[in-house]
This record gives sequence, structure tokens and C-alpha cells, in this order.
Amino acid sequence: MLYDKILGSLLGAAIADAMGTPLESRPVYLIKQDLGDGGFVYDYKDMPADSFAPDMKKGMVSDDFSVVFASLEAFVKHKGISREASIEGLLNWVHDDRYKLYSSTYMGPTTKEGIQKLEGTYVAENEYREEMECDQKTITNGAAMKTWVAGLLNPGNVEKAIEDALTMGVLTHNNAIALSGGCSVAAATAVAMKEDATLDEIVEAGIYGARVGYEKAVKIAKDAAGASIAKRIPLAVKIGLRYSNDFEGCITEMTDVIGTGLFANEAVPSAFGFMVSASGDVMETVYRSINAGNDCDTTGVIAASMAGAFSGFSSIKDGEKHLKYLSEVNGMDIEKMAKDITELLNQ
Amino acid sequence: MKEVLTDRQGRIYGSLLGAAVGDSMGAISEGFSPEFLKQRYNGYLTDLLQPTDDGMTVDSHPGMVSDDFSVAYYTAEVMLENHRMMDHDMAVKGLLRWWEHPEYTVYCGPSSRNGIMKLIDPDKAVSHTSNLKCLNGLVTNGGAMKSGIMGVFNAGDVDQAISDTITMCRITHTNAPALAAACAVSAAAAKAFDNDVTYLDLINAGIYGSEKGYELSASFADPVCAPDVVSKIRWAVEIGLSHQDDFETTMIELADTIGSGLWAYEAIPCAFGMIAACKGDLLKGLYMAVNAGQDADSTACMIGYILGAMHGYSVIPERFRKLIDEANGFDLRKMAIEITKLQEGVKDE
Repeated sequence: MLYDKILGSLLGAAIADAMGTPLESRPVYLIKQDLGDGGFVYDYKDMPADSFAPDMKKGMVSDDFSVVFASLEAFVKHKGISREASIEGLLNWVHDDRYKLYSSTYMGPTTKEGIQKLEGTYVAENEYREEMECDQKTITNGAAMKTWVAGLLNPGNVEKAIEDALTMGVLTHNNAIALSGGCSVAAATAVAMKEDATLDEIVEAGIYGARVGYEKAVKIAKDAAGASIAKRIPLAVKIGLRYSNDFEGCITEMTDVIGTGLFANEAVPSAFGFMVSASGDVMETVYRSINAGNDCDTTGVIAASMAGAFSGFSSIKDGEKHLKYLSEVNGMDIEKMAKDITELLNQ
Repeated sequence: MKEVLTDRQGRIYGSLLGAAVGDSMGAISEGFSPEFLKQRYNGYLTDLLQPTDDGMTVDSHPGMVSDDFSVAYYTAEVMLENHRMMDHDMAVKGLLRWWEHPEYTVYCGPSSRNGIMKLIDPDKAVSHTSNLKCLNGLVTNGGAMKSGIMGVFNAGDVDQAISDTITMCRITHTNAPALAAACAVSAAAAKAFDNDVTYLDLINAGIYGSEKGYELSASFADPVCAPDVVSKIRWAVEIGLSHQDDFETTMIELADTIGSGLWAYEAIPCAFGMIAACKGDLLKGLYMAVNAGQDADSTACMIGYILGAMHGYSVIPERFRKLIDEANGFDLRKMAIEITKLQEGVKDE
């Protein structure tokens, strides 16, 4: 049961990342026009020439899943999440030949700055920004894209998941709102990992995690001026519920009102909205998230990792096929990783 | 003895001043969260103070404006010198005049920088060097931060204000949501010069302007991903109207849900929400935008154009009027008179 949830979460995230990346940065109408032959996209696609990484192969994941996979290796080795293990995972992602292609191709601006600071190679672009009390530039979704594993490794333990999300996230995201997003996703995933989890509880944990995560984060990171994730999640969920039987309506309203951009206060609330609108079904969550465009691979990873933990691998249609395909194309043994994590949690 | 201002002149002066005061006061609070500001200023920030070192300002002093008002000011200056209403040439010359003032261009946002680089050094323009089809990072509020001036030059003529806004802003802002947001502000500012105008009229004009902005830019706009400016204005106004007598609740609710950040789909809708929340009161509107933090100077600047035109300069404390002119070397009263002369001259021709 635990194994099924862990593998479901990992695979859900990998599918969303691989399917969403070719669609990334486009609005809905261009996804249909350029990639969907006039309709929505429900499969892996080749990377378009005018995308972030035209040379990457079909089925390849991007920064989201690859940094998670590298981090998980370190967490398994160190038997849990710690500052040391998080740093090791991040740096392996940057330097290990297996991940170099992903990190060098996709690394986002905030993560890049964080890693340079860890390695002592950071040069400030302007001194004023360093002195600023608050930072709006780093309200990005790169903490939330990876901290769902803090929920994966802490089934049912919301408080520990939040702590671990902060440990992981603060290395790259010195920003209270970005970390609030990370804690929200971690808390929700921790609840989704419970055997008898319900969608209601998952959403409630997400709102709780965003609120408590923000309160904790302002003490260890720079404050930020930006819209609140705790306040936007209910709005996104409201949209998700209103359009649960209307695929296109759900996507239009979510992108028109909440947005699915690079910012944590867009991607995280939308991810909850899409997961709820799909009733937690993994593939439906993936399809709704990725077809929303903009930073849709990350929105998709966040949404599908929660949905995968909730519904489990066995619920994913053609799960075996996806697992085999993605593991091969990316050279990542996702099944073994799920087994290693299960073993770690059962110790 | 100064000549007495006519009603129109007084409102133009009010609009310019409102925008400048909003920009200057908001530059102090930009980038901070409302909770932080409240603690720091022991309540609300309602004055033109010396900016702190840990904020977004660079070598600034009390009353000094930032990029928002200055880019519009230098564009107006160029138009007045040439005795011409807005056209492509005026827009370009206005931008380049502004570029000569590093004390203000130090705040230049990504889209304005891109637009200016296209003019002077295309190799440095993101839009020329990126292979991406959609540059989603350019859906910014920098068109809307300056477009209020087109409402001033076209006082009372909403459609002309919209059309001039597109001409002015499309050099720097080439996507539909950024232009729609810019048209919302200029349309509302132009409308605010009507006699007996109400704040609900201004909101309607803003919604009309943003719808028109999408329509008029459809043929040339670059594709981008962004929330819908019209939907978000409606939603922000709904929030504003829901808690009209509760300043703190509306401010926080708008900042937390709509957001008042750098994006065209945040600061502009938020400005209209605040106009609704404050029932069109200029100073309250400015204080709300300033104390909501985020991109406070842009949000406050837009509110200043619109509500300053509605109420005229007399609602703005005299100390602010003086400080703005002194700190920036402006003479906004004189500029207001010259703008009315240009308008009358154009009408006669």
C-alpha cells in the first residue's frame, strides 16, 4: 500500500514533467494549435524548436523531476531529509553526469542563485538587491516543485513534512512566499500518503501548510511582498469544483484568474485546483495541468505528485507502460527508487 | 500673482500630482509586505518620507519619483515642446529623453528595457535574442504605469486615450494583457475628467478600456500566457465593493488574492479594486496602494492619475505639491496649463 502510493506519486510527477515540458510557456490556444492538432494534448510530444530546450528528447523530464530524483538518492543514502543530504542531492544534480544535462538545460533563476551561493561562486548582479529586506524576484515555484518529497517521506506527519520542506527549500529559495508554497505541497502530500486520506483533508493540509509554512519561513528567510498562497488555494479549489465536469472551462478559468506561471503563488494554488477538479485521478490531473500551459510542467508535477500519492500507482491507466518508458528514456530507475523509499520508511 | 487655474487645468494638475505623489510615496514601500510596513511605520505610511536603505529605491530622497511617473513626464515634455499629440515619433522621443535620466531609469523594468534596447541596441533586446515563442516575463505593468498620461492629454475622450495608449506603449509592451492593462488606466483617467463622474463610471471605463485594449492589439500582439486582465478587474472590484468601510481588510484581501505585483494582471486590477474600496477618495486610494506593498509605486501612480483627475489638485496637501516639484525639478502646475493649451490648439486646428 505504502509502496503503491510512493510509486504513484513518483510516476505521476514524472509523467506530468515529461508531458508538460514541451507545452511549457505556451498559452492554451497555442498548445492546441502547435502541439495538439487543434485539440488538447494527452501524450508525450517532441520538443518544439521555439521552446526552452529544443534538443531534448521526447519523454525526457526537466529540472522538476530530475532534481527530485537526485535529491531522493541522497535522502535514501542518508536515511532521511537533512540539510547535508539536501545539499548533497542538489550538488549531485548539478555535477553528476547522469543529471548534468537536466540541470544545465533547465535550472531556474532562483535555484541557480541558491546553488552558486552554496558553492561560493555567486556574484551579485547589483548590490542593492542583497540589502533589500524583502525580495519579489524569488517568489518562484522551484521550492514547491521539489518539496512534495518531504511529504512523501513523512506519511501522515504534517509538521515534520513542513520542517523538512523548509530544510530543502531554503537552500535555494530565500523567500517566505516561495517557501510557503513548498510547505503547502509537502503538508498536502504527507496527508495524501495516509491510507484513508480524503481530498478534503489534503486541501485542508495544503492551506494549513501554506499558512504555517509562511509563519515559519519569515523567521529563517527574507520576507516577500506578493499574493498569499493560503488565500489563493481556496479560490483555485472553488474553480476546480465548479468546473469538475468541464475540462476546457476548468483550464480557461484557472489560467484567466489564478494563473499557472513561474510564481509560487500561481503554480501552487492552481495545482490544488486541478487536482480537485480531477477528483484526484492521476492522469486527469496531469492532462488538466499540462494543457493550462505557461509553467505547466511544474504545475503538473506538483498536482500529480499529490494525486499520485492519493490514488496510488495501481490506479494509473497503463501505469506499467509509462513507468518503463520514462525510466528508459531518462535512465532513472523509478521503480527501484520507490522500493528504496518504502524500505527506508519501513525501517 | 499666479493665474487662476480653470477647472480643467486644476484637474490635469491634480492628475499629474496624484500620479507623482503615488509614485513617490509608493517607492518607499515597494517590495515590502503590508505587515512589515505596518510595524515599521507604526501604522500606515501616509507621508513623503526619506526612503530606507533596505528597499527598492536607489539614492532617492523625499518626494522623488521613480520610473513610473518620470517616463510619462518626459514623454509629456517632448510632446509639449513639439506641440504634438501622441504619435509613434513622440513615443520614441519621449522614451529616449527619459533614458537620459539615470536617476529614474535605474528602476527600469524588463519590458521597458527591452523596448528601449530594440531602439538603441537590438543585440541586447530579449525579444531579439530569445528563441522562445512566448516571453511570459514581459506581461508587466510598465505600460499601465505611464499610460495615465494619455488620459490626461485626452481628457474626456476615452477612445482617443485608448488609441494613443496603444501607440505610446506598443514600443515597450508588445503583448495584449500589458496593453489591455495600459488602456484600462488611460480610459479611466480620461473618463475622470467628465463632470459629475462617479467612481463606478471610472471602473466601467477601466473595464471598457481593457476590453478595447485586447481588441485593438490582437492583430499585432506577441502571444503570451497570462491571467485575463478584464476578469481580474471585475474580481478585484467585487472584493473592493464587498468591504468598503474596512480599509485594512480590503487592502489585505486585494494584496493577498489579486496581488499588486509587477504584472499587468495584478497591479492594474488591484488599482481598480482599491478605487472601489475607497469609494473614489484620492488620498485613501493612494494610502491603500502604498501600504499594500508589492509594486506599490506603480499601483499608487495609476490610482493617482485617475482619482487626481476626478477631484483636482486641491485635495492634495500643499506640502506634497511643493515637495514633488522641488525634489524632481518639475513644474507640474505649469505643465498642466501647457497641456490644456495644446489641447485647445489641437481643437482649433
